[in-house]
Amino acid sequence: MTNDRSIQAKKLLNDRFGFENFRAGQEEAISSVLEERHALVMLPTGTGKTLCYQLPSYLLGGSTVIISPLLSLMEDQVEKMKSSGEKSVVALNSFLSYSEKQTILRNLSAYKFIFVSPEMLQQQGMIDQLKKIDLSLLVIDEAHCISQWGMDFRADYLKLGKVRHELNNPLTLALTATAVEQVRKDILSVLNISSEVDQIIYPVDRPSIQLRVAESVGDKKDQLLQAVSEFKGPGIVYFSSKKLADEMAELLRSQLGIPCESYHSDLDKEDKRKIQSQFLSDTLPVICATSAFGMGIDKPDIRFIIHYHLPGSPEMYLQEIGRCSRDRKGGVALLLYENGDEAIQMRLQENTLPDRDELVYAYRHADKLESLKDDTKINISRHFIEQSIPFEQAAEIVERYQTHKSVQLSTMVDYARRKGCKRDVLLDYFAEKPEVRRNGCCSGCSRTLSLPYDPVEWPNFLQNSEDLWQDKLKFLFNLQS
Amino acid sequence: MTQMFELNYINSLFSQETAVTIRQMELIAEGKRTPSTLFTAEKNQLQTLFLSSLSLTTSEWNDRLKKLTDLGWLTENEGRYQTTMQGQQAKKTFISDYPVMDCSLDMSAALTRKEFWHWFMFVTQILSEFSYGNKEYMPYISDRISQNRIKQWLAEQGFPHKSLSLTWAREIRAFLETLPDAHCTFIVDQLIGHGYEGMTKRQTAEKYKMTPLEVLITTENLMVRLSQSFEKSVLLKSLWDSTHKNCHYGLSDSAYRSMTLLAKGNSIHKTASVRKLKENTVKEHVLEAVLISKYDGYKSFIPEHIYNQLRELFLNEPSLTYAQAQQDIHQLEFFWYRLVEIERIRGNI
Repeated sequence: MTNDRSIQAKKLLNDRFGFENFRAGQEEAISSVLEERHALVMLPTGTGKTLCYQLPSYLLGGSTVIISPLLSLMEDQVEKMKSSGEKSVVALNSFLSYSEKQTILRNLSAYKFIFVSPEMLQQQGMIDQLKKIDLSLLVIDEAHCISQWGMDFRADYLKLGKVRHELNNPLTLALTATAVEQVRKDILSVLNISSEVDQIIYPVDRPSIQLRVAESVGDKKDQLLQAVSEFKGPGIVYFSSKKLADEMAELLRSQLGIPCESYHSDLDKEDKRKIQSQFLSDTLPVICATSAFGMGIDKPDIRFIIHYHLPGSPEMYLQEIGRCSRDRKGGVALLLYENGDEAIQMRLQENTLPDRDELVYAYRHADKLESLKDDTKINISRHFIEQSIPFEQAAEIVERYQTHKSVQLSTMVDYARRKGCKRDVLLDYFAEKPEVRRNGCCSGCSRTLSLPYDPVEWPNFLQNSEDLWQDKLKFLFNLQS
Repeated sequence: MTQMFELNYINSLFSQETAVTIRQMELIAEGKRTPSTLFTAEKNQLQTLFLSSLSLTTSEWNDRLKKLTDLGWLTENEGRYQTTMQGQQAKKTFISDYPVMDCSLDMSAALTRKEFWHWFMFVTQILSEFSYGNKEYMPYISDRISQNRIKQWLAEQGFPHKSLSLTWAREIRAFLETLPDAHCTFIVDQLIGHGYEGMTKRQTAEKYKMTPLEVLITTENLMVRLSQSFEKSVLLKSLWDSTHKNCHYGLSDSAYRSMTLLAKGNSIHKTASVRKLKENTVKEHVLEAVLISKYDGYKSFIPEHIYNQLRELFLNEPSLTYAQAQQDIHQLEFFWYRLVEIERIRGNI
């Protein structure tokens, strides 16, 4: 980066984003973009990947298109940017009505930041509109989705190379938090930027998070209660089932007397928003959630993440535990593991991939796939057929993918069961070694662990809840009398 | 009482005029807009059930109506459920214990009462944050269409004029002062704004020892009550009107479009052709408008002599069936018959 650009970037960092210094990796990523070199950036969860495209966008001019995988995440990102003063931002996704989409498309060049779902980019009309704007940067968020070896098989992500080509190969920034070597290779290959790319790869390890595994023998509920009382808050407990998330939230409320809410797809969006706000403002210290909660939640002082069920992959686990200790002041990631817990994940995996018979059916009746319900199995089969991949090759890909899923799960089982250093197990998977090993690294390294932070006693949550409604109304509207 | 709330609530929907099957109740509660469902709702005085927060599956409806029959509050005859003396007595006791449930509702306001609550919350959030000069907050409503409409409504009221939050606060206070204290706290606890995140439905239910259904229905009924006491509430009334307009005055999007064309003087034939619909679909839209919004311009769609003949027949035989009417009127359209029948059940014949 030229000295001028570097000074401009620093000034912008301070003036617009309110930070004194860049975090590790950010400056390198921004430099690459400003030097107009493609970049693949892997920074651990919670280290500020968003800034890597927001800041250079202001210096590059033109528009930045951000491909984002989750609708709810996209909405959150847009709201966050708007609330921090950036009004020239829009999300193009299936939430929009036809007429609203048309209005936005007609004025597309007026937006600085355009968030778009990969599904939307499959529409030729959308590509044609994007071709007309001054596109200075294409960002692929959660780029590991591009690879079939990533966490999720997203057929539309696999087609982004073609999309990029149609957009005249714009300057591209691929962002991810967790991608093994193979996934990183796939990202570059699909996007066709292998030969001219800066790879800014930072270790996935978060030394400030203490890793703990507790073996359960039919006593998970007690262990959960004990852990939450010890860790204090704020924290998130993850579950694979909505029902259990509801039940355990009730248990924590009744047994510990603290506010605790469950968060999953059954809640309406207004209540979801209230729960998020309560959590961010510290009136709600603990949330029992499914994986629906967390993406886009930027709370620096989350102190613990507990997993009640075994996650399906190290990538997923690191993403979720990475939400604690963003302020680097210490956090605990606790996995409650009972022998056989992996069966839940195996069942979930069975439902996401087509088996050989299902694939045979899909290839024989390709014309009927449209009428079938829209699930992962159908999407994957449809993708193979649309790409004219021969049946045997498709079957082999699915088999390899299944094997890969098994490796991911067995790594998690190994993490849960192995007696040695837990961090080593996770980092081995990413072909990394710990750069820093703190005291109290994990439950494999020390039998007795103290918390890596000073737990703050639960505040009196009942305070103010019994105020008169007249007083509350006065406060709400800043009325003196 | 809380455990019995749902049963009491269902029982309270029954009047002497009500005789319905489980399927009919289910369709009305789901808010199905077929003319036959809407007609059943009106004929059985089940307007309050239309598009209700009472979301039950068929087997749950079966279970609840069986329980009410076992209690002796309903009686079943050939699949139709009717109230009993005991049921009406239980209804009286319920309404006296829960006066807020004494709320008869127009079907046109069914969607508006739900939507208005969210608009009311969002405007409260915007004006609360505005009163503290804060622009950096996560909006309660995230969808852009509603955001834009509320933004437009605020602009029409003179936002960002400083006195707007003050007037809004005064109007809310004036309304709340008409309610018992418990209901005031119940509403205020759910509001969001500067430094207030608001209680979720579960939290509200826990604090007030209610079921989530009770929270929903109480909130909706309080909003209806608010809509009925607008004399001193210029802003609240204006917001209700905007919400109502946004909800197409209770009509479906398609019916609203057809009615807009008809209101401009287009015939049913022309409207169907412009909208590329069947004429029968447009006729269903007219019936929807008559049943939901009490649209009274329907007479122009019935030939005058047939209208007069039908009225005469209904005068002589109030329970006149379509088949009977066909014997007297050659090539009688069901659409004409149904329109005049609605007039009859509304007591206009």
